[in-house]
Amino acid sequence: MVYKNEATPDNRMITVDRERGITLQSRPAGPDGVYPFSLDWEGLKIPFAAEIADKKRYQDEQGAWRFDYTWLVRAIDLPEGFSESEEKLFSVISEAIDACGLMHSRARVGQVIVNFAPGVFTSKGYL
Amino acid sequence: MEQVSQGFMDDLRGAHGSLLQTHQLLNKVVAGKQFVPFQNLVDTLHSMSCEAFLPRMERPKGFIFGSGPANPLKDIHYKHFTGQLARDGHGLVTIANTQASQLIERTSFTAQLRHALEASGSAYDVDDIHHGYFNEDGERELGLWDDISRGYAKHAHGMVITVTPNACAHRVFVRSELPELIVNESVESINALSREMFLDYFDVLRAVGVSDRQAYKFVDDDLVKGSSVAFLRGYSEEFQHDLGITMRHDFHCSHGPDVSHIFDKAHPRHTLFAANDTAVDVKILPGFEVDLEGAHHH
Repeated sequence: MVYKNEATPDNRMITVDRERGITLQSRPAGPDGVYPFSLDWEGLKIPFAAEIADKKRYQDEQGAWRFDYTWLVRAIDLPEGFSESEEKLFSVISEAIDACGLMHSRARVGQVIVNFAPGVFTSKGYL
Repeated sequence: MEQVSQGFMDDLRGAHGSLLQTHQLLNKVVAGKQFVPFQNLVDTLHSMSCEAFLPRMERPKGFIFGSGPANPLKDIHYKHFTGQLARDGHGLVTIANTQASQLIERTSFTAQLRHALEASGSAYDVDDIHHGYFNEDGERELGLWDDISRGYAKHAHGMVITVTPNACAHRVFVRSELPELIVNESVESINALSREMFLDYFDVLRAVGVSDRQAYKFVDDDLVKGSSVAFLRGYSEEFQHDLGITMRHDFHCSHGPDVSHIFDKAHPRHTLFAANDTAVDVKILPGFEVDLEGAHHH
């Protein structure tokens, strides 16, 4: 996994793995705490939405605050022509969220766990 | 990281109320080397307007509020309904139509907020600051979205529609929006029912010793949720399908017949946009009729 969190020339933050052609972008979330994302995987746009289901905050040995996140992916909108397996898709999304950390920064992020809701392909309204 | 200069902070203060100028200024902060103090960012956000307008600054006819899963059994989020209502051309707005909402969503603002929290060694992250966090007593401390939402509710007028069949008592709608809506004299109706009815119920609860927090929860549980379901159900057959089970639960189990009768009036035909709207003339799907007689027996 060679993801980087970086700013685009127009100052948007992205999480990008150029070797594999994967880019994760955040989209406006609104007041409810469900975060919509757009995953670009070799040119295919895959919108999905996830929320922080659990958060643990703790101080490390230097006394700095760090956060462990458990994300729950609530919705994935698969584009036509998507041919990868569900397992592979979940793996890529999990890696991208892990690399993203929070708001495209891993600066204070510890462990990241990503789970998928049972109705992740049939839910409505998250995207 | 070092704090931005006093001159920069003066400029930021001078840009209060201007989304464009604020955005341009925040983009000048050198990433990884400078940060804007937390309170300056909060003050900047609070300087933005929470009044919602239609595109081209037209005055809206009504205001949409949403919270929580509209139907948890089918995993349908409230935005499925708020988005459709806003798109259908009734002159309705959501909180996304406010200047403050547009700033808090900007990467330029969010990134600076994150830098400020990191630089100060805060025990909170951007998600905590945006959405609030639970304290040791299990109470949610309010977040910046609560501030914007409260302002959005304060500036609402005319018709209010809530997509809140399953709003949680600790989330933004019940904590920050409902208290403002029921005392906002510019609001005529909530889910096509008179705003005064919600306020009267709140006053009755307070008069018998119920706390503010509990009273808002009861107003939401007893009046807002049911009227929200009834209103949405009357809007279109698609909404009926999506809300079916939730609706039957609310009307037949949770409420007595006297309260259920109130919900009969919570229908889009009683609102400003009903007269010219064919979408509200829907048939009740079999099995989803409001059974007032049957409500006695459950």
